[in-house]
Amino acid sequence: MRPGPVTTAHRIAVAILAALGLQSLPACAVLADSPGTPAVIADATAESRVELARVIHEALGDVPVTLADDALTGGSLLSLEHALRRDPMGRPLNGRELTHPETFELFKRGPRCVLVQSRTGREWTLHHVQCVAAPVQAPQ
Amino acid sequence: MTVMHSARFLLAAVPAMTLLGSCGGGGSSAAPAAAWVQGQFAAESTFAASCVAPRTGNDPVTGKPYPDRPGKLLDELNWLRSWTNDLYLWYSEVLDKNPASFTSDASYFDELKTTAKTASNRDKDRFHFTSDTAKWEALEQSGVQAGYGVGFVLLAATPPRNLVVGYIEPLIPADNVAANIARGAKVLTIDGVDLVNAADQAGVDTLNAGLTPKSVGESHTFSILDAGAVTPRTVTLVSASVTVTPVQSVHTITTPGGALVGYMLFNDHLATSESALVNAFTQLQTAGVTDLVLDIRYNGGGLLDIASEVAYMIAGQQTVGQTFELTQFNNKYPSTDPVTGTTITPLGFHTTTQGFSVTAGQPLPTLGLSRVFVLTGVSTCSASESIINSLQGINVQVIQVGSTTCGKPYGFYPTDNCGTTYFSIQFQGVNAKGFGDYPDGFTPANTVTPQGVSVSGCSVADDFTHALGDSAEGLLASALSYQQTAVCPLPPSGSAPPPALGVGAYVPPMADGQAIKSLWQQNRIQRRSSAQ
Repeated sequence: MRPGPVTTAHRIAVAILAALGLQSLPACAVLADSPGTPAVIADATAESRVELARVIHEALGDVPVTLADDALTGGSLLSLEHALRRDPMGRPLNGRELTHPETFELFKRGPRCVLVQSRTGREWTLHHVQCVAAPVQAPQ
Repeated sequence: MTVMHSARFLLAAVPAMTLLGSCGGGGSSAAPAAAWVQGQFAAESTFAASCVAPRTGNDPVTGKPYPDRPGKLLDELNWLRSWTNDLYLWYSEVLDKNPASFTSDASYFDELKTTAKTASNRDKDRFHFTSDTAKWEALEQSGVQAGYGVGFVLLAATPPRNLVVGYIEPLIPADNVAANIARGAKVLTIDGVDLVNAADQAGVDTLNAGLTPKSVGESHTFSILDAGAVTPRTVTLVSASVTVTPVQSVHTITTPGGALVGYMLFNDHLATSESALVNAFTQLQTAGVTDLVLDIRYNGGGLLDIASEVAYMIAGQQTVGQTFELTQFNNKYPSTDPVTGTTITPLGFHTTTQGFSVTAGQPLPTLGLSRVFVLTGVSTCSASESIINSLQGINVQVIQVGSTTCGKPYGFYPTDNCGTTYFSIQFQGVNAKGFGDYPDGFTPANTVTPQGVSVSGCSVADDFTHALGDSAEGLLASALSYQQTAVCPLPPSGSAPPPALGVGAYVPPMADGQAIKSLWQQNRIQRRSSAQ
């Protein structure tokens, strides 16, 4: 309905699309027909965190990204937003943000844990992550 | 067009063969010198990326070489001048000064805004900022912010200052749990400096350093006076990565009249808010509430799509097909978004999830209410105000309890040039009735000295003597009272009688202030009063 603004996230998107046409990306592939079951990381380890950070880095380039140690352990969706910056009155600088956050979703596909970049459909198999089907969210 | 972002966008988008002609770190020639003629503006592209200190290497966002080329300060100032004239919402109110008379980007940018005042004599443009581009473009996991897990509220930024605890994050870091801090506690000193009275710069710097630690793991010592206490105590807070809980205290209240009222504290328009809101509204929908109190007193805005979802979840079917908010640019762009180049179309009320933290396309729950109570304060801003304005735009009654909101119906596309990202107001959001003129905020109707646009409801000061969500808390109590009687309590209902205690004893705050959440990138404590 609404056009997306030309901000960081969009430049990332276009850069990746352009890159897809220019070079092979052996670590990832385009989304399969059946993405699998939404999943969460069952047992986050130092190794799994490193792999997750590496894949995010591969997806987004050299943009600094801060992840929590428990990323993708509580839900299958991982959203990334601009590091929150506030004005001198303590309010978000951009309190009317039109862009969408960058999101990734973790799926369990057979024995594999697969991370999918929502915007592009690119996916990565995580070899050092143990994942299980995400629990169905219940009301608080 | 906004040249910097758009140009880089296009460079990344064009096929490889075309890129070959533009790679290599941008051109090497400087922008042509331009003699200033008042009122005449060259295209901003003439000066874009012509930098005193061109960045080298690749832009981490695009993976392509920076477009920067060697230039002069005057080139950067000329870009600011032309860009502002093209896109600034109030470009015609900017006094066109000769950029050659300025010695820095910052000093010139400060001049590139309207000097007009609002009806309440505040600056019309109070939202004119810059940021280092590298810092702005950094991403962080949604909902994970650095801080203490304590939401402070600054009631007075200059001596005699007044800083109190507004709320505690449910996931407060373990190191800070032992401090046992609660809403209403007053901060008296930070790292030994008198927060109330310190006037010297070194003291102010210490205070700000304590409130805005530069890294995770910093320890700072606070002297606080707990609510109701006579004697201060000292606690140590440690900065950490805090997973914020954007929606809290979701519960129902049965009024004496038998009505079932839902309540939720909604603090941030983050991506993670989506799942929290879906859960909250589902809970209240299942409970069968017939009224809702939405507490947004500390909500400064964020993702506009989240606000649209909230408005639908409040009002339901009556929003379908209606405009949530229409973005309007300056009169040079009546129908086209000048940044994206696309036709301006209104943002509707979302009826399904947007995929921010819940899989996209899921039907949202809704309460289907014809009215909503909102609890507000001066921190209620931007996207939060959009909830109020959008619902009023489709004749959903909004009853406002609290104090006047901040008044920010505006937004911008942050734009980079030469490593600085500029935030300059470019658009205004209007509702289905075409209304978006609330630069002085929304004000409860019975306010003694109205400041903003009047909204039905009650003026009540923030009540720090009760927990948020407590039915006895001043704003919530007033809303519940109004729900039954349609009459406001005599102001200020949120205040408790001053206790008969000794000198230095705790006196309940009876004021409204700015919420301090994430403690990064702020410089809150001031030596003296400043215009705001």
